[in-house]
Amino acid sequence: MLDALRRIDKTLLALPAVLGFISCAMISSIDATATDPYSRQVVVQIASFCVGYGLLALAIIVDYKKFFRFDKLFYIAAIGLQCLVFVPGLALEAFGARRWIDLGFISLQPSEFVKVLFVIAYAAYLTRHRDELKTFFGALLAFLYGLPIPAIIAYVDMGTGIVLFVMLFGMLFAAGLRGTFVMQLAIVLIISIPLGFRFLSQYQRDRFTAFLNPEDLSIDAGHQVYQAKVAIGSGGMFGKGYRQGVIKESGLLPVQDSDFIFPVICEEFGFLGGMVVLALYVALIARIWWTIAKATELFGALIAIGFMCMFGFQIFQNVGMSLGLMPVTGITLPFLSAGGSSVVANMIAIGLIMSVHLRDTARGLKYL
Amino acid sequence: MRNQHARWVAQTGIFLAVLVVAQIVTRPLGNSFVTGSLVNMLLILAVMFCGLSSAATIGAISPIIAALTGMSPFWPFVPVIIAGNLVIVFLWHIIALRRTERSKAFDILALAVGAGAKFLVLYIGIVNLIVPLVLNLAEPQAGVVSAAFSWPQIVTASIGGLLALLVSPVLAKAIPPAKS
Repeated sequence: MLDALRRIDKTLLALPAVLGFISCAMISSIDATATDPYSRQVVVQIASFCVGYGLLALAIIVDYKKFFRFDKLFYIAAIGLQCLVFVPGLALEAFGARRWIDLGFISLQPSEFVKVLFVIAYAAYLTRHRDELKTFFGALLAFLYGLPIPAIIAYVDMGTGIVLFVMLFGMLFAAGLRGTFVMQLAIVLIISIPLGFRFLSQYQRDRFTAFLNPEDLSIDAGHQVYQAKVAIGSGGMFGKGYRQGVIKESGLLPVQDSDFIFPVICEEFGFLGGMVVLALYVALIARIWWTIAKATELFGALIAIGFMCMFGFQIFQNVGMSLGLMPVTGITLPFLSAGGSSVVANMIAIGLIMSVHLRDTARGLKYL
Repeated sequence: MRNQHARWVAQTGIFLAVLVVAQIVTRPLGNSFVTGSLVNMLLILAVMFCGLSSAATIGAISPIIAALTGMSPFWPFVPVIIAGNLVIVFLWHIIALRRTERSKAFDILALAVGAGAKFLVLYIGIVNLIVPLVLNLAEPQAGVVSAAFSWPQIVTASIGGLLALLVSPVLAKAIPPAKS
């Protein structure tokens, strides 16, 4: 027991707490009023981190290898959970996407938990069929096996769907898929972008158009990015100070406590504040990479790779969106954006990576 | 000797032409992400395969062409952008390429230091000097310009460096790397 405690990756354990502290401080700065310094959202965020750490501990205690046998159950559960957003009376729609379900006392975002189930189910499938990936049909079958879950999610929430596609490709590639097949799939996807544009809803088309025409502020998404850039630029090198953000106070920047939390950090703490946050994320990705590099079994390595792709792409997309480098989507910044479902699911993911680190790592580099 | 000079002119000309075409082709995207990453990649590839003098020439001429063709919004930015380009190629040359044996660790160091140094040159030159002292821009516009020359510069310089590292083994089959 003591030996296991000693071998726990303490950096991975501590990083969510540090990011959580920053998150609560920033949400308090955004949502708090003079009479209520601790807004409801701050309380929800703190509670989510507490629940998240509990589930993280559980994920470490349970041997992740036991999940291998139940992969089909995880696969069906992932589809079933996501389909809840189609149930009338249960589904909630916001910002053009049907992401949440209303449980009466709390609203949940099922897609956040679907990501966790998907990684386990797909890692098990790829581990079982690794040898078949070398043939064209084996590779195609593996791709088609993973496809339904990202496709269903993309139908109701394009941003999260794209995250799952990135995870799917990352895991496929890491499992040993030939680079040429990945290139062929990527070319087909790139060619199909103009065709796919026809099937996008109006708000998604507007976001894409705003991305291609950043000077056109008549589009709502373009105006959001413009305000985000003003907030980032006006913060300068050292920022305006905690709770001193002008753009933030004006309310011109939407969903500041979730999608656009990075510009608020940059406005109040400047370039250096943003740099500290990104350094914490680099440390997080580096620790996950270290676990992957030392993993002795493919199943554990693939679980960590799936989550590394998830965190990496979400960070890149969210920060890129704030800078106008990527189109606007509803993808959150892991551990920083307000949202209980996101925090809890991310903590479970960290718990699973730590479980791999604890049970499946050698002293030297094995897997890579 | 004459052959070497002709080779220098030809390689510099080709890289410069590719860089200008990349700027023009990606312009309709209306976004600095793709253009910036490609420009940085080509600058780093130029220093890898054609040498420091060639890359420095390309880094100095390309912002002038961009301004002449209306791709750069303000002329006063041009000298600072040239300085940023010179800094990134010089640092790549010093850190990664002047060594007798290339190593991944020094490539990554050059990538990080090059991106950071280019950002600092652009940030100090444009955000702290040109925008407040020369252009006198009002707050919303100044904020947008400042944002454009802060984070995106680090991101595009890093992606450009990564792409150069990925492309260089393929390119090495066609062009022998420059002797330092």
